[in-house]
Amino acid sequence: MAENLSSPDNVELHLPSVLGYEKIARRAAEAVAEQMDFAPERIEDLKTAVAEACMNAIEHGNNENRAIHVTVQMLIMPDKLEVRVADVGHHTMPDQLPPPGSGDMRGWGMFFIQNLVDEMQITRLPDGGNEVRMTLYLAPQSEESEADGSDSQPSPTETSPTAVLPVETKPSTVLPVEEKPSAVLPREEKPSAVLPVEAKPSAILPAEEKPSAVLPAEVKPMAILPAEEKPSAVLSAEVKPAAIQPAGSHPSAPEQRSASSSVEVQSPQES
Amino acid sequence: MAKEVVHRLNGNIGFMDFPRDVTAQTRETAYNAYNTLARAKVKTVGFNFESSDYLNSAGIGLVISLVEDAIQSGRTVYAYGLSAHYRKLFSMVGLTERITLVTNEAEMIEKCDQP
Repeated sequence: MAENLSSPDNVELHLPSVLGYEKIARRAAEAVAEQMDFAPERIEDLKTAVAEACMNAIEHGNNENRAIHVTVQMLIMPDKLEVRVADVGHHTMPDQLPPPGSGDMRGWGMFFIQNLVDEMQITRLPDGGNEVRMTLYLAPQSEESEADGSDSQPSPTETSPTAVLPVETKPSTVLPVEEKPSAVLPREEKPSAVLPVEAKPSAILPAEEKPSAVLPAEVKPMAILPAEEKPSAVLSAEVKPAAIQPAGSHPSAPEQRSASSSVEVQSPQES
Repeated sequence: MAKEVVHRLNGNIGFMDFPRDVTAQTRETAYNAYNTLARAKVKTVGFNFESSDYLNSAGIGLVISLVEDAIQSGRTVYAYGLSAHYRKLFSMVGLTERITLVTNEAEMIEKCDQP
């Protein structure tokens, strides 16, 4: 890490681990990125990435315990913005991220982060927490992008293959009455995007009303696109070799503290 | 500011007006709205995001689940009111291959009227 980190400006937030507070970080990131003159579309990318990282930290890392804070650091450097989102690590990030929408992680969110920022790195902190680092560069990083005359701030998604993703699997606590009972297929039995109608179990509704029911998200077996196109959504070591640090390797800690400003966002119950 | 998904009917077209924040908390009212439209046997559904300025991953997952059911049920889905950024996210997850993105409700109705 020999880049110019000697004295980056540091904006730091401490968010209660309650869903909704990620929007505070989103707005703060927007303000910082605007100040750095990022292109509007890149700011939108950053906002989504920061919000998703915070949601992961709130929900999984901190188990939505409002007494525990998610720390968001925004390190402002001449050529880039680095945002670090840290939790206390109640849920340890796996060494390899699961496919979007699978398992108990917010796979969709990690997929968006991966594809919206220039660099993403997940680190296990010495105290057991997780830290997601997201970097956006002000200028193109590859010679290719300069050579082919692309815009000065290309969005990562412009070169990313279209993703093919299974559906968010987060269960809802309250399900509508009309929802069909589970029609869960094991992941390996998901051959296509859409189950044929006859494969759908009839449920509460009379047959003629079958189409009206919505499968609850947690039983959703289908992906949007055919299975053979899925691999692009999987975050593999080959795609992002530096994305995940093995346990015990902590390339850095929050070492930049100069010119920092700290904002504490307290939940109503704490004040 | 409304936090619920509201449904409307216009002939054989159903509309779902999404709130400002489309998140996991939107799930129940979205299902209710969709199921109401489905019971009315609409063949076309329009997702109106004109009031929405924050869709997180759970919210997009919710949209996907609704779209999947609609397609399985033989319905056509349109979406409008999305910013360029959320259009991009919809494309990233493959939604744009399943639904038709239009600018606004008028354009959607115009497309529906075409033979």
